[in-house]
Amino acid sequence: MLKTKLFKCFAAVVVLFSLLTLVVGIRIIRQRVIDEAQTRVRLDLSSAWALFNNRKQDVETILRMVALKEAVVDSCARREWSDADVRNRLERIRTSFGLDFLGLADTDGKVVMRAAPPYRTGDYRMGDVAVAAALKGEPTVCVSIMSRDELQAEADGLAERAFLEIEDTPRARRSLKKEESRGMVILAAVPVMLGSRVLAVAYGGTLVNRNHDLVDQIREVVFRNEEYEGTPVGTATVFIDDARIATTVRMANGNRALGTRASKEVADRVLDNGGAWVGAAFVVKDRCLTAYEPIRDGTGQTVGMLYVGILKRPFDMIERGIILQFLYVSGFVLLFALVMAFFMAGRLAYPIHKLVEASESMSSGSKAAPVLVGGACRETESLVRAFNQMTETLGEREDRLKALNRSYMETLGFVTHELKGPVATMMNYIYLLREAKLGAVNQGQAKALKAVDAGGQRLVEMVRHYLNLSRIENGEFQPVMSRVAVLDDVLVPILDMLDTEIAASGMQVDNRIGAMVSLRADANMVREVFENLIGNALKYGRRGGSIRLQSVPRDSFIEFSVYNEGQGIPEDKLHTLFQKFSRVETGDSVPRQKGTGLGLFITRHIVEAHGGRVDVRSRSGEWAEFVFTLPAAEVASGS
Amino acid sequence: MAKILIVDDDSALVESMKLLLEGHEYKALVATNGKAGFEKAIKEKPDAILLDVMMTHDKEGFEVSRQLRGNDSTKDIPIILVTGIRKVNNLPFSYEPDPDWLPVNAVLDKPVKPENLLKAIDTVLAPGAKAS
Repeated sequence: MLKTKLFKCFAAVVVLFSLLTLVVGIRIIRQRVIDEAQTRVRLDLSSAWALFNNRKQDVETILRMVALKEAVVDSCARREWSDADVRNRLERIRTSFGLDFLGLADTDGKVVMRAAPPYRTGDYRMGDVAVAAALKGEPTVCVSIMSRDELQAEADGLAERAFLEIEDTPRARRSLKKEESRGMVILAAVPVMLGSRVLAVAYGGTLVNRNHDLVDQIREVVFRNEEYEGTPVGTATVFIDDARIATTVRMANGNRALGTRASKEVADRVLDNGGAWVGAAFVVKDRCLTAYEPIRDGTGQTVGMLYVGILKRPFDMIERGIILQFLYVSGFVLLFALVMAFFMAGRLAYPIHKLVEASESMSSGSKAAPVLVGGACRETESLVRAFNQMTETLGEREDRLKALNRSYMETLGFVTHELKGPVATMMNYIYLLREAKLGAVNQGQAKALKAVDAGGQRLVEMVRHYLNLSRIENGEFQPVMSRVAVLDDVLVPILDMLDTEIAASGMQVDNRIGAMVSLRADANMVREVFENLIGNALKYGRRGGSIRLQSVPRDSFIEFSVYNEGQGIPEDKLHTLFQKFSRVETGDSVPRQKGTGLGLFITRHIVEAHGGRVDVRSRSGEWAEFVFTLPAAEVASGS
Repeated sequence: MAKILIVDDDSALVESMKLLLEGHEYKALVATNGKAGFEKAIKEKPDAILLDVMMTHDKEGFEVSRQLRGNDSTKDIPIILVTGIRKVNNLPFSYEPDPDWLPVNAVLDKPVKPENLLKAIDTVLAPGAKAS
């Protein structure tokens, strides 16, 4: 149905576009959420850096304060390094400001005083970039990596605090390193000046390894200790190379994930290329959005990484919420569009459906009522109007034609009917002449009479056929049913009537239809059928050949066949044979007598009016056989 | 010599039939309308009657055949109905011989071939053939 088809088309388009919108929409939403999260994690990393740098600033400030202490300046000016009073003061400063180590180095870079046990002196710190810069009069703070020995020299227990076992971490770089004995320190060095002269350098710092204050502060300040379903939203970590030395990330057992390592991907990008890395990653057990940036020492060399990460789950939830909302809206719009499509399809299809219906009823012969359609679009309305106009015109034309045909057929019937008397008269006189009842006839006259007789016969047939045609065309040809004994009522009279023609043709009629075969039919019409078919067999059959009549019961019908030897009917003519004015006149099958072209048309009409079927079979050049069915008489009980 | 009454209003046809019958050793009587035919049948008592259906009006032939059957002196005369119609007053008409509807011995379709007409007369006149 058109409506269904239209609706399917509309629906397909609507659904297709909806799917497209969904795919694109969801992609956009996802991208936006990820962008948002990455922006946030970058900002968080900047905040973390600010805290990290504050810490550096703090250390530098403390050292500046130390370098300005009168006692320190005095002691340095006097080059008296073993002043216990000064050392005690420094140690108090160190402990109260939370420095892990603090000391003084002379202008050669030799450590002359340490304010932490075991108070070792005499080693050189010239290799240190900060110390070297301070000796030139510049206060400096930087990140520095200290070896185990250096840590041991600075203070008791510092090396032990720095020591970390490296954990086996999946997806980390391959490494044989089992431990990290180095320490990352924030180191400040400030010159002790007298006027513009550098007397010594005060240096000191804090160890970052296991120093969770810094990372906890980042978590506290940057992420405000936010938690999502029991898991901290934000995490922060400091790495030496790729190993975690201070972190808020906790392992499944609740311990800080110290000694675990960053993934190879991150290490390659940040440590080897000195770039930042931003992206989604698994941090221990949660999916996080992470950002890593390199930590550089005083020489600018990358020595570690600073990391912040935020849980991805909250963003997933936001994303899911937005997508759900989007789906609801899309679903509603889709539904609405489908309903609209349904009504639109109906509105478009209805008039066309009506037109099709009207056309069908017209082509099946009935007169179409005008198609009434309201509310269609303008183009459809004008189509409907044009169609209605056309049907009206066609109807009028058909009525006129029918009336014309009817009057024509009435005239034909009247004329042929009126011909009957004169033709009968003529036939009588021809007979009388031929039979020499009106005097002797010479040979030439006999020949002429024979021709006139043949013409008369044709005239008789024409009168009969045209009269039947006029009846068929005027719808007056309705069978009047009665019991018809085919042999006695039909065949015997016909064969009797035709015996002169049969004798003249030299053909034998082989009738196999028995006396018991009876029909419920219009006797005259059955006679007409047999007369036509036997007449055709005589006209077209082979001279001296045989004509065979047979009957076979077929359910409530009887199937008859009229078979004749002869030229048969060419295959291409078979299907037009039962049409009005159809004649087969090819080659040798030129009939001995020209027909009206109506016999088979009338035959078909009669058989079909009885509910039967008529068909023709033929082998060209050999035989032709007409087969038709007519309703059998009910078997009367006792007869 | 058997007497045959021809009832038909077509005088040319009647004339030819008369000649046809006389050519075959029959005596032919003629009437050109139903009333005259009926009167002649009573008067002459023909051996058979050839009756046309439609003369001055549609059903004259039927009426005459019924009149003939209704009259004692003519009821046994065989009637051969010669007809050119298949429809009377728009009623489908099956013209098979029927004791009530169409009390005739044979029905022939106009135009009748002379051979068939003669054959039909022979048949109704044959000894043993009875009026229906």
